[in-house]
Amino acid sequence: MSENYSTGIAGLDAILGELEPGSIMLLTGPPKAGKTVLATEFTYRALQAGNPCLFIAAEYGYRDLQRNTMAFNWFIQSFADKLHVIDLPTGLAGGRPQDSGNVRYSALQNTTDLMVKVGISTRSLYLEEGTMVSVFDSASILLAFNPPKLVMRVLKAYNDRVREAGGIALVVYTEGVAEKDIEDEIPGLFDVHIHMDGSVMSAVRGGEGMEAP
Amino acid sequence: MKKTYIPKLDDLLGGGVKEGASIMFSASPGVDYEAFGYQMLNGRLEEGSAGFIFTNVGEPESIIYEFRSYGWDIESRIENGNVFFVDGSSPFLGMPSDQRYTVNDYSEIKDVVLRAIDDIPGGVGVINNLSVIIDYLGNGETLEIVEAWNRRASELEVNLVYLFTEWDYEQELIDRIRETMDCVVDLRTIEERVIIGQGFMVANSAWSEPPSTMVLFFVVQPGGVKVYVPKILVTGPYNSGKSSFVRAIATKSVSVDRKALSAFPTTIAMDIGHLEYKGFMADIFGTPGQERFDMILDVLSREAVGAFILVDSTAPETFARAKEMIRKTRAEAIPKVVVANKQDLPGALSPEEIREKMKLGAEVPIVPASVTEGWGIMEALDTLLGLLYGG
Repeated sequence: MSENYSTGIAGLDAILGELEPGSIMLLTGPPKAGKTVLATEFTYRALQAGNPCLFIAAEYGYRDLQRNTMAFNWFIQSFADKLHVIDLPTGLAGGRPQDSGNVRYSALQNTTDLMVKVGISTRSLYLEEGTMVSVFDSASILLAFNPPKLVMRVLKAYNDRVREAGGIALVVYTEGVAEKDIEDEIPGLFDVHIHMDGSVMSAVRGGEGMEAP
Repeated sequence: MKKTYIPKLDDLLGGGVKEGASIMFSASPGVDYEAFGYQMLNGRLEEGSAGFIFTNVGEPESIIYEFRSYGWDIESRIENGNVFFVDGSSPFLGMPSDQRYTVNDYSEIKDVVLRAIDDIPGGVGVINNLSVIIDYLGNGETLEIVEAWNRRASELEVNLVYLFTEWDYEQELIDRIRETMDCVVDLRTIEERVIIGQGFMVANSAWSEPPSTMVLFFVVQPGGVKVYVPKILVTGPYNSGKSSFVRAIATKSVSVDRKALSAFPTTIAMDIGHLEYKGFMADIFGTPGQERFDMILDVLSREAVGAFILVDSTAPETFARAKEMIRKTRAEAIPKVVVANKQDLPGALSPEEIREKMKLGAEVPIVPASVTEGWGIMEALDTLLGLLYGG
C-alpha cells in the first residue's frame, strides 16, 4: 500500500487518523462488544474502496461470514475476486471442504498450515494488486486449540507477512481468553490497540490515546 | 541406506538416509512442508515397511484426506495394519479417537511414542509436529524426550522423521534440537518483500557430506513434492547485449539469431542457456528486445524467479524501454539486477547516473559490466543469487 489508509468507518477514522502501510491493529474488548461487526465492516469498506482483502475466519466459517455481512446489507460476495478467505473452523465439523477460488480451508490446530496459506494469499494479493488489507477474526479462538506461546509466535509471523506486503491488518481478540501474562503481552505485537467496551471505543497508537463516544 | 522418496534429496544425501537415522525437516513459517514427511512415509510403505504418524496438528481423518489428495493410498495400508496413527490431536479437540495409540495428555507422549517405535522395527515414524510439542512441554523436557525416541529408533533401525517449524525460538534451543538429529534438511522461503518460492537444502548429515545446493520445490496435489529448476530471465532493450550476456553466464546456450536485412544480427525468438554455478542450477531465458515481440514476453517470463535487466550505459534514450520491459516481464515482483553494460565505451553513464535516470529504488542493485570485455558478469550473477538465496 503506497499511500496512507483510511478505514472508511467514520467513528474509527476519527480516532485513528490515517494509517501508514504496514500498520497492524489489535481490536480487543469483552464478548458482545461489537468487535466482529466492526471487523466485518472494516473488511467491507476496504473491498468497497477497491482494496483486496485477506480474511482469516477463525471463529466462524466463510458461509457464516457471508451471512453475517448480508445482515447489514454488505454483500461481500460481489467482491469475490478481491476477497481471499482462510476458513479455519469448517473442517472441524467433519466435512472436507475443497479449496476453491479464493477460499482456502485450514485447521485451528494446524498453525503451520495456516501460515502457509497466509503466505500464499499475501503473495498473490501483493503481486496482483501491490496492496492488501487483512482481518483476523479472531485470534482468541486459536488459543483454545494451541499452547499460548505458539499462538504468540503465529501472530508475530502473521504480522510480519502483512507488513512485508505493505498491508494493513486488524486482529480481533476477546478479552479474558488467555492467562493474564499472555494477555498483557499481546498488545506489544501491534502498532495500534483499539479497545471497545460496548459504549466507548478508544485507541492507543504510538503511546498516544484517543477516545470517541 | 533407505530412500527418502523426495526428488534430489537422495542424491544430496549420497543415496538416502541411513537405517535407524533421524531426519528433521526444519521449516521457516510459511513453507509447505508436511508433504516431505508424508511422501517419505508413503514411499517406504510402498516398499513394504511399517510406519506410524504422530499428529498434533490434525485428526487422523484429515491426514488420510491429505494423503488421498496427494494420490497416495494410506487407507488400505491402515486396514492391513502396516501403518497406524499416534493420535495427539483428537482428544484436544474433544473428539473420540479409535486409533492404536492416543495421547490424552502430553505427560504420556514419551512412552506412547516409544511403544509405537517398538511396533515398527525397520520402519519409519513421522512426528508432526515437533514445535507444538515444545510449546506444550517446554524446551528441556522435549529435548530429553527426542533423545530417548532417537535412541530407541536407532536400536530398532527405525527412521524417525521430524517436522519442525522454526518459529521465533531462541537460537540456542534450535541449535540443540538440530544437534540431536542425524540429519537436518532446512526448508526456506525465498522472499522479495513477500514469499515468492521455497527451497530445501541439507544442512548436515551424519553419514555424508552433502553439497550446499538449494533445491527449489513446490508441492502439488496430486503428486507431492516436486523439484523445479528455476528460470532466470534476461531482458532489456534492443542491442543492450542480452544474447552475449546469456552466452557469457551459461555453461550451454543456444541463440536463435538471424542476420536480417541489415548487417546487425538480432535475436528474433529467444536465447536459452543452462547454468550450473556454486551448486545452483538454472535455465536462462533471454527475451527479444524489439517491441514487436512483446506479445511473447508474458509467456517467456512466466515462472521466472529472478531477472537480469541489461541496459546499454551509453544509450539513456533506451532506459524508458528498459523500464517498460521490467513491467512487461513481471520483473517488478521478482529479485532483479540491472546490468549496466558497455561500461568500456566512451560516454557510458555510471550506475548511479543510470539509477537516477531510470528512477530505480536503492533495493535494485546496478552492476557495472562490459560483456564484450568479459567483466562484471560473474558479479551480476553473484548479486542475483545473493538476492535469491541470501548467499
